[in-house]
Amino acid sequence: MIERTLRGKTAIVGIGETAYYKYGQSPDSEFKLALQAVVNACSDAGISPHDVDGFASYGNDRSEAGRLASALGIKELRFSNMFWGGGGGGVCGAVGNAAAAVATGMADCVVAFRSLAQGQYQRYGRSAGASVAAGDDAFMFPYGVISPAQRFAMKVTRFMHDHGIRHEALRAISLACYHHAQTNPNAVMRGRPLDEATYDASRWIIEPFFRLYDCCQENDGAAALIVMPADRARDLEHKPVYVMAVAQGCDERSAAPVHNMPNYASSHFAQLAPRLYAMAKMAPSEVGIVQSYENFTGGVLMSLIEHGMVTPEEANEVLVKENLLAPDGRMPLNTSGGNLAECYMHGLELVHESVRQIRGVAINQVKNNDVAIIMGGPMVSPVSSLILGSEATL
Amino acid sequence: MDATLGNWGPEWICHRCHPFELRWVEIEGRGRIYSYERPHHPVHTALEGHGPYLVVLVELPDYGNIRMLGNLLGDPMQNVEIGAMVEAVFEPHEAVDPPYTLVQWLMTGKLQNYTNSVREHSKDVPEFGE
Repeated sequence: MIERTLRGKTAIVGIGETAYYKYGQSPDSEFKLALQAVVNACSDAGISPHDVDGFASYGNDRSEAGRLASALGIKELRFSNMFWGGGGGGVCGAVGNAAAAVATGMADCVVAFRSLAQGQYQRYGRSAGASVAAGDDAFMFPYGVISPAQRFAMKVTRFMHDHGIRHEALRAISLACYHHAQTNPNAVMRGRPLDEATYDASRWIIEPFFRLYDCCQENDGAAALIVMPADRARDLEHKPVYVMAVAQGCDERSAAPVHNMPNYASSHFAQLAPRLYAMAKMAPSEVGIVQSYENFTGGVLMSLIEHGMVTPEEANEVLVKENLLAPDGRMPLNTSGGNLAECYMHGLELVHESVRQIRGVAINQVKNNDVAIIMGGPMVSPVSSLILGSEATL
Repeated sequence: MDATLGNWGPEWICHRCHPFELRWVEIEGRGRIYSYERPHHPVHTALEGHGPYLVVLVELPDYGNIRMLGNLLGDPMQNVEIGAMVEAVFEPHEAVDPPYTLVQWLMTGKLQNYTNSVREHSKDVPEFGE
């Protein structure tokens, strides 16, 4: 029987992003930001935007594939794709969909991208003030459960309760992200280092585990990357970064209405992670670089545990700042600052950072840099994860 | 009601063996706190000046541990313990069009105090949709 897999069949050959801004600060519109990111990614890959023949995105991106292709003068668009879900759960799935299109011959050069100008449209942390709440919202809005933080906080409360994990573990995640941002010239939080006292004194967004610094930023920006067949990637300028595995989906009934999913205190990766490692033919111990999407630090904690990077029993001991830092911490985490401190580029900045790490050109370069894992958008449904690897991992 | 067959929230089909013929069943308003949160940051204009407030996720052990969401009434700064027993109360909102009623939750044993203060409390509850 022929093995059906994406392992090693495609590679990321180019990455590009815009300048990253606090929400409302971008001088450019969301669509122009998308175009800038695509052009920058093509430039990085050493190809023309005319060579692109596909687009994959997520999070209900407003920059439609047909419009991008027309603006860029693409002669023949052969693949356009949107991953379901309004959150960042689709970040790795979009890269995976691009890889699947390329691996199966539907297209040759697919851009995975995200453009998001919260200043131009709507802040995620603020209700738009609609007068009608429909579907699941109708059972949550009247109780003041409106924002993403409010929807997810009780999952974290229960998880911490079940496993006896202390708030200090979440603080360490935040401190590591802010630490890594201080050397990153494109990090919005560069120049704003975070220490334990500042974290501890920060205001509650939601008790008992969501302080201000446990929550992601709201930003404007765009990021794009280019996926091509592995054999063609080797002819291009940069060291290819291979897509070794992707997994996406929902754990059993994880989108059940009104918080009735069977595995409630979860990032929704429990069933997904084994599929990811099986495709990669790797174990968690082989991963050198960990990028875990921070909507909220509690989501990072559950993602790390469900991907086997740390057990619940050792979380208090392992999740301390020193262990999470590049270049040689036990588990370097979110090495460019991530959603908390680089930019809330809906997690795609985590994939870009993984590519830089595997190329060996990251600002906070990790020594053990052959394998990176990216965990996208915990607690939403569907979610997705990705393993990238160097030539040595094929 | 068969304790294994509860569904919440309303759904068109039962996920277990796919009948569309679902029906409403009256249940006892008794549950235990499965999880909770105390939001401070007002994310909607209707919440400004009303926080912090308590949200509880309540499981109903008598009905297959289905979960319902609600506010825990009383002091918003009260200590909340996972596993504590709570009872349901109805909170009518009749001044809006259309009127609606919310199910809310009280720590078990607090019902009498709540009933005495309900008229006072209802004046402070923000109305969505106004």
